[in-house]
Amino acid sequence: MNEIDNLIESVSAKQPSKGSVKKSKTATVTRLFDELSDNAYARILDKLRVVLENKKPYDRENVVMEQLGIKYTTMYYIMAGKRGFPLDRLGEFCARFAHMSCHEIALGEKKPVVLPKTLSYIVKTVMQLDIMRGENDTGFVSSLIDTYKTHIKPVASLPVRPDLCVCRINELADDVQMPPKRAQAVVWGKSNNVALMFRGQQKIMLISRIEENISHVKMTSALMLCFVLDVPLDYLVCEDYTRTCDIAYKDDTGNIIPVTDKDIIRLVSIYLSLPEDMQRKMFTDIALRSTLVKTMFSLVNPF
Amino acid sequence: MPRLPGSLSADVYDGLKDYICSEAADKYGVDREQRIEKLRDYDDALRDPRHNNNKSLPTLYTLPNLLSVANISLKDIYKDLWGVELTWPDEQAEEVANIMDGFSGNVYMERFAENLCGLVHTFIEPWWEDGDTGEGRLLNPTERIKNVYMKRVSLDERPNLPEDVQEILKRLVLMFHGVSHLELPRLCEVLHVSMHWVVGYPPEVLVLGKNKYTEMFMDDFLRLSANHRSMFADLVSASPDFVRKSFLDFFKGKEGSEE
Repeated sequence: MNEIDNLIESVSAKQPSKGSVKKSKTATVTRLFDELSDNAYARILDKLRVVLENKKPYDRENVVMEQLGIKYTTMYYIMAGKRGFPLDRLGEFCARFAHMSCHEIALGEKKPVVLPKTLSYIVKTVMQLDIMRGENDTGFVSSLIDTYKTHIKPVASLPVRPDLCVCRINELADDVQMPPKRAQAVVWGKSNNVALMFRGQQKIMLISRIEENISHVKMTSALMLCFVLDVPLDYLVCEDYTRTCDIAYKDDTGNIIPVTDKDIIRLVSIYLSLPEDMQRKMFTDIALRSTLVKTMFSLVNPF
Repeated sequence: MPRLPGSLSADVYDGLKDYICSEAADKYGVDREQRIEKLRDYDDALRDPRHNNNKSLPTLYTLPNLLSVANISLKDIYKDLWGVELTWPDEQAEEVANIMDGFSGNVYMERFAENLCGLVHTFIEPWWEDGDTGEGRLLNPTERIKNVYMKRVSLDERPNLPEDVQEILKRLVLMFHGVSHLELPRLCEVLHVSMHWVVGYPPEVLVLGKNKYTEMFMDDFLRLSANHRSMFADLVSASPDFVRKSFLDFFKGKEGSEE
């Protein structure tokens, strides 16, 4: 990440020589993320201007504002550079108008979302089951898509759920078997810090000032979360991150494998847009089918 | 007799010996003298060298082996040792365990249950197993408590733990003391872990489950986060009907193909 390295160097060069080491390190990190955040807002604004210039004069701002649900005054302040682009609308803007990922627009680099455990399991299993289809069979993935596409929530993309950031943090906490109650307590603890422990590393990583409502989360905090949790920005601000970003899963050896099959990406997209009970039902369907196939296989081939 | 850290109290040990010598011998018809001798051998062999100054006391680490030698179920002696009944930690776990108990009777069901165990195990992070393999898995409750404390309780949370527990944990972590069996229930309650797991019973030792698949499944299930637990609870609840139906389909298909 050359850009970040350059920023660290430039910020460190501006560092005053006096003061305690601890204080200066904290200040460096804060200033680094402030600068990253300013750069990100500037890139988004540039992209917004390009998008608006390509529109016809009579629907130049109105269409964009209407489709993103941004008020006229807010748009005025954004265009004037007096306030940042709201994070809860960023995913929609990237998907509909910018046609690039939020992470790419904010930080200038592409990064796939590595799916959480449940989705990784679904993707891996569905790929295995789909290989076994017969010649006239429509395939397991297609049948799942047909079954579940009718259950998609009516408003899936806009506005994003207010507690999206917290849900994503909890999802990561679930994967490392940290109790959600404890993760919540840590997120909204007295120190107002987010702390997540990661397996094997035995270290606590801290990020300050994460708001409960995504519309109040600042870009600086969101970027800090991205770096600390090692996730792209899309994972934190888009409900259906397959619309803007590439996805990948970890195989049994820990290698990251990109998902390229369009049907499987569509299935992941449907899963992300389903209500929680239907998500569980989909997991149950797939897990039962897979367990049954394994059982049959072990009975037919005992050795 | 003074109680050493990491050891069972003399009273509990005496009670345990009496129990083994009386009921177990009667129940299983095993030679009483031979059993006592074997117990003594195990006790000497497994004694923690750090507290080796009093040979009449077994350490907590020897308990699983003592019970397995004596062929006594933990469930039978649990209340005498810890003062509480051994139960599943909550209703959801009990419900799941009951359904898993039903997966027995034929090879088809058992294979299905075995595959379910494999599935739930893929969701468990490897950090649970750090320093927790082989002999250590059986014999080291102190390491398990330390492991949970160091990896699951964040620095922010540590000052919020009850003071008595903080004291015990500080002693465990900083002074390399073993955990006492009297402190275990309190520690497990505060750290939200199952005492059954901390004491270190391997899944092969049936305790509450009626078959080994229940124990294997529950061993992993109890480590999952609440969200994943309810996901797997849904899966297990849906399994019996699905298995029955697929079982019938399987044999119908076989009959059809034979005809």
